[in-house]
Amino acid sequence: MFQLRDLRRRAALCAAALGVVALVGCGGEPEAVDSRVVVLGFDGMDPVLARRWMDEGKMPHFSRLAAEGHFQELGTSNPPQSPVAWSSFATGKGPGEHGIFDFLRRNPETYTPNFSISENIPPDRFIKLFGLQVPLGSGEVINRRQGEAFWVKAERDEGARASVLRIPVTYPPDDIHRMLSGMGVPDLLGTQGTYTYYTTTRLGDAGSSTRTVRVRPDRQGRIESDFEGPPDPLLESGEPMRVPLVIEPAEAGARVRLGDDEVALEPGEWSDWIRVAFDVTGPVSVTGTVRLLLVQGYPSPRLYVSPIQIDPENPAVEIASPSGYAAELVEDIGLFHTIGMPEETWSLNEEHISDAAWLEMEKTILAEREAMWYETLDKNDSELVVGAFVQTDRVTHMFYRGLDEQHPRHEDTAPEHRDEVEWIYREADRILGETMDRLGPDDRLIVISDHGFAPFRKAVHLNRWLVDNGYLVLEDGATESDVVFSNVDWSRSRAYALGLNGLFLNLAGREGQGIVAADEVAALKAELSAGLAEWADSQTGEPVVRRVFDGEEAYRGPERGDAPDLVVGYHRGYRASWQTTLGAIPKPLMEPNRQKWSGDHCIDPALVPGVLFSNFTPEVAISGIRDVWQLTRRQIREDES
Amino acid sequence: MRTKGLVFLSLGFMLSLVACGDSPRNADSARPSEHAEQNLIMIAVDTVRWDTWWIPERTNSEDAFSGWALESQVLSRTVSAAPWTVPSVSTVLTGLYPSQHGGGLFDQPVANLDKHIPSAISGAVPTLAEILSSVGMRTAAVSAHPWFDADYGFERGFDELLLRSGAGKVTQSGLEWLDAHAGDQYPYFLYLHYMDAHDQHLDLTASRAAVERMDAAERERLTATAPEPACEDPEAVMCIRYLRYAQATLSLRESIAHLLEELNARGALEDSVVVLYSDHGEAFHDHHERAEARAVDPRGFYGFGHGQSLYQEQLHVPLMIWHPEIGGKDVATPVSLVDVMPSILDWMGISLPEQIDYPGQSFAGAVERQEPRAFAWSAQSLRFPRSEDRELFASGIAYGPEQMAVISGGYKLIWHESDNAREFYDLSEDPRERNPVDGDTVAAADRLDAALGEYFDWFGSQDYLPPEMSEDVVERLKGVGYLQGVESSGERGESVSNGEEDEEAGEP
Repeated sequence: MFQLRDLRRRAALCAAALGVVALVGCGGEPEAVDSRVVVLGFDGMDPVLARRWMDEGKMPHFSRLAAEGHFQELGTSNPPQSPVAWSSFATGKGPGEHGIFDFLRRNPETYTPNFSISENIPPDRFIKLFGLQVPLGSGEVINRRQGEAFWVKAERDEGARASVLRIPVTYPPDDIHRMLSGMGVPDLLGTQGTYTYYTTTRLGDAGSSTRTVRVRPDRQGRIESDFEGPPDPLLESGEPMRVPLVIEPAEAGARVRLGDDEVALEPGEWSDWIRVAFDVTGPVSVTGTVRLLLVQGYPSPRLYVSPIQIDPENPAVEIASPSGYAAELVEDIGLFHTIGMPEETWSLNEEHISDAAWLEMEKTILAEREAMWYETLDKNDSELVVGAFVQTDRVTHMFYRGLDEQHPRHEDTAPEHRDEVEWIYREADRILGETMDRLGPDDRLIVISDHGFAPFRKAVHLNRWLVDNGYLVLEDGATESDVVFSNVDWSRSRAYALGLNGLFLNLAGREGQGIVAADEVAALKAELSAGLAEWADSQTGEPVVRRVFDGEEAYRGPERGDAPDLVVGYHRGYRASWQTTLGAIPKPLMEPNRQKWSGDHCIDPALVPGVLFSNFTPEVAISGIRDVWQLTRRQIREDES
Repeated sequence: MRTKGLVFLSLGFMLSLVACGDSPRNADSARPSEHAEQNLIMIAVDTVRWDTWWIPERTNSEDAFSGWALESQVLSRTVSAAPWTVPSVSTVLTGLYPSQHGGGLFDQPVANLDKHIPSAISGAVPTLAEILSSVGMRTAAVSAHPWFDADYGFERGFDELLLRSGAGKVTQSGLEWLDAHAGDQYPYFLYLHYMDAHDQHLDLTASRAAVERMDAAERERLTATAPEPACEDPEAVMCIRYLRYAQATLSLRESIAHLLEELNARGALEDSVVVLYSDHGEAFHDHHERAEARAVDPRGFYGFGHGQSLYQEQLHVPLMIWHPEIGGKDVATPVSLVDVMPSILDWMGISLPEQIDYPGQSFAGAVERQEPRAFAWSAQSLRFPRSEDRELFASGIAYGPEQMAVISGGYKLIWHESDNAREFYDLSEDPRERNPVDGDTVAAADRLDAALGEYFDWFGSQDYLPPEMSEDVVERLKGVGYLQGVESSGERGESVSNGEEDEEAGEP
């Protein structure tokens, strides 16, 4: 259907253009491409699971691709985290060169973690006027990934037009034929996905991804509140911009009015997209889009409001290349999620929304991604087409508990939700089938995943281990520490953990309050590695850590200075606790993972390889994800010749 | 969206406290412009119901306290801001409602003081002792309540904090402190917190033994004062508990009389304002049926003790003042414990910190305007007058989902957060809240509800944080019935049993 609309739109555009100047190519269909290189990613697709369901006949298209072409395991990056692996995929380089070592990067001066992928540099010049601050210039967003992506190189060196959709770590967008940015695109608040949760009853503690708003219905059940947007950029006070939000009882559930829109929802029902306009002081407004979920109805309604997406038709920041591409897409396929990590998983982890509601959202996102992927393939105007579906990764993270009978949350996962991982693999197979149907005889198809998966049964408080073994020292009297090492005595601490796999020495001259001298580094790393290797789970006797990598040996390149001193490769079933990633130190050493985020891959990379399929036999041996760069380059050059 | 509860507080005030903390005592030149001429003696009688406090008067008898009562100003319609100690005492010591001072709250859908450690008074809120200390007063607290030793903020501003158990020792330590400072040139603030009515009736075996030792006439006299339906069966567990409680309360009255006599003998009453209050009352199945029907108490028993509901048996408390220049009076104007701090400062000629918009009002004027006529008990004193439409609030449930209440114009509205249910009562006609009235028949229903809505908005979106608590303090709190399910070490604040195993004092 969107194809029809697409044609109509193009016809209209051409007609308008012809009125001014004759335009090449407007006479008929866009110039077709003879042969293409199509790279399709399924984030987190695990070779063992894929093979299982291929063998059971549940993934016939993958089976066909493997039989007629090629299938192998694909080594992942170290550490095996999506931003690291996708950066290696794009650049053909290791973290020492592309500079992405973890989801989080630390500031050694302050020991604070920050998002590693992109950085928003605010405008540094303002004029202050009547209590307002008026920015001079618009600030800057940078992609922290170093190195050149193969699609950029292909356009420049081979003149191959590239369409790149939703590949992680592509924000801000590269200036290529067509790009829609993926992981790294923030929400309108500048975060990686903050939802808002209106509740009439008190909740327990919620993470920082949540804005909980306690509201009270009046005698008629009417609730009047506000929905907060980003801070007004013109106000010095940083006051957020707001739109009114009203919830009222309705026959089947509740009626919600947000800004100018009103929608009636039944419990468990999602709204369509609602556009929210936040009025900046003065005549300007910033728009974003949200979806609402009525989590439960009266008498104690709860309303979930999704992270505020950058409005693709009126983007507050560039999320696509060329800049009008996102708006074009809306005309073709309707509004869609623009945030880099579209599946907001924390609400499910916090159990603010149900399995069913989350899966409903996931199906919507999957449909959006499919629509834009097929549209790009159908346009057939790019020699190189690259796209990723991250839904395989997200569903596996959240529903591994259904697959893993040993998981602490297996038993209370409803029987109808125990096979969701299989469901998303079948969906991947269906998408592969649709993709293959759209390929020409000379098109080359490469299907990859960035890593595999493992159960996440126990959360490991690595910083507690460091405290117990005397490497990290709490302030006198303190027994635990909040995030960012709030109670740590740095003058007596030699090592600390931050991020999902990173372990850092408190190095003199590098860390803000470093004490470890350069000549002590080697011995300390050896001591830590040996200690971690001996660490056994006190309940089972099993080793917790499978391998510890020395950052100096694991990484080469100019960015190595940002690398962890040691990279901890956990054993299957274990993973760093959420607290450890942010520098918090609770009392226990290890805890059963009772959260729905039940599968993970941030362990020893040897345990979680990804997959590589192709409809041709690779000419060279491919061992790891960074080799895909060479493989792809080779196909493009062949096309060229 | 609601503003954070404490954003209106400024650090400036705290800085000024620090700046003038000790200096006035060292050099007269540094004496602050504002200073107190009078002493302040505060007496907290923990867990005393309004009606139980007046048993001698109700039964046409007298005790050593009766004479002191005649000389006092009795604020006969005083409402506590919370049904248990931490949020209520925090209100007395800060002049703010629980939503504003942040003390004694739970960041949980269902509060359970057996298992969760409640939050402390926000560090940004000044306490009465800090204010009085900043104007040069010497300050001391003697408390039988272990919460005073748990970093809740109660201790802030006191030069000395003494923990003593039993009325005798509290009184003795208080008097010793006074004697030791008899020659000081500066006025003092002495705070005494008595726990004698709090928990003796929790021990059923001891209660039974005590009741069996009562002579028959005394038992009959006390039984007649029991709230319905506790003593419908005089042998019932709840009646035994009530009788023990009444006995302990009467004994506490005697202890307070003794304290006042000793203070008087020292001449301390001539230049002091003396304030006696109870932080909350106690339920003896007054609303058992309603509580059982709602069935939201996580301990699985209903309608006994305090902290689990906002009915009058927990909120209507004694508040009495002895002021050297004012004789015995009966002040029927409804007041809240949130008014205590502004009233005291008013009497003492000290301003409230300007940075804070205090919700309380000084009742000093109302007391002074009142005709001199000593308080005489009558059941009328349970009734709240129609004529007064100021709104008095309460909240701070310790066992169950949060509730909030407002009293105004003789009506009371209790709102249940968990299911948005509302109970309206006519306190002018039905002061024991036997029969809820249909909100649609209450002219002021929407006004009361809107007022509760505003009160609700005072709750910030900030986390209410528990203090770090030593094992010693946890053990002592367990000794008086709190935190029964909290482990003394390891992961505190975590649930350690599944609720059904809770025994507390057993199903009473």
